[in-house]
Amino acid sequence: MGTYPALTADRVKAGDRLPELRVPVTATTVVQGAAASRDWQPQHHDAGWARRVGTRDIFLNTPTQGGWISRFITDWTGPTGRIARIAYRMRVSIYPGSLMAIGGVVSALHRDRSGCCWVEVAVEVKADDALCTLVNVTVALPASAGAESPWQRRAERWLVAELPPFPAAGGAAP
Amino acid sequence: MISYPTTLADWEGFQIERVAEVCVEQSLIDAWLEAVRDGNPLYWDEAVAAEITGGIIAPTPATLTFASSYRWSPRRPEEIWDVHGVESAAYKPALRLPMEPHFALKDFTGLREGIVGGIDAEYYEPLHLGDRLTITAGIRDIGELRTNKLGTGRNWVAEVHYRNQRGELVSIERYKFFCYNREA
Repeated sequence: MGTYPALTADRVKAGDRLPELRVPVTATTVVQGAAASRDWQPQHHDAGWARRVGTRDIFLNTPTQGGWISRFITDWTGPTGRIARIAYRMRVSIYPGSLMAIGGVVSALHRDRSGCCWVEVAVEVKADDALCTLVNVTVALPASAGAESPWQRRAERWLVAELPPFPAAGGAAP
Repeated sequence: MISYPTTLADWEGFQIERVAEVCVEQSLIDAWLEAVRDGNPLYWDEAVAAEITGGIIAPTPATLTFASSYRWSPRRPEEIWDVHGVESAAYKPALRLPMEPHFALKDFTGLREGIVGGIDAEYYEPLHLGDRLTITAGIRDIGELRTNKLGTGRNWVAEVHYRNQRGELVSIERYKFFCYNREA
């Protein structure tokens, strides 16, 4: 058996704060994310184009933000945490030269009819303290140490479609 | 050859389905991990991944990496995805997956600009090395013409369903767009 952190639902409660992730954003950060997601829309690599269409500079694409958020969540849960859904509400773009800060708080825990333990995390992505993206993430955790991993669940017991809707506003409490 | 709708009403519910050109492979996963500095062992450590997920999987939000069309490919050398509008007219337009219906609806409506206000994504079966996606992309919830501070345009939702080669649902993404023309 491998050695890795494995957060379990019995050690989580509403109001818990996740460790903040801070990332200095450069043009390389933006372009590397666009390249890794194979997103060649010019606003993510061509500063001249970006300015011509009215933005300040190139900016992080949403899949790259998703990648940082996914990492933020699984850095906290360990690899047995299984992300089920992410909802993004974009407000402001994230540009090179800013310090991106990802923070989150556990907003709710619940268990579905199959026994899967779900944790709702309200996430805020900020750049230089300006709120850029409100995010809701639902992640499944083992109920307790030694309990079934959510990764063992196949379609008939992975009931994402039955999850309650996210709150409309999303994002973490200040 | 795709037969695109000829009326706005017919775009509501319009869908296309194609098999992705790119399959899930380790070097693309590694490039993603490099970009977001993600050390989750499910994405690179064979021993840990074998124990938890039955083998290495792709990062959960990385669907676009394995769904996006090549801009150009030797397998269809007469086609190009011309974002800048500078290529020779001798090229045919490539399918712009996974968002072809969205881009085509922009072309149809003449709405040149577009912003994404929100994305909802659901994740089902993980993507394993060697998997290849089938993409079903469509349009729904086309709104009325309206004017805001950006310009005049319409909202719509581009919804994409991804399945693996076994027909299992991998993920669903719903992109909420406002597409518009700036005021003169």
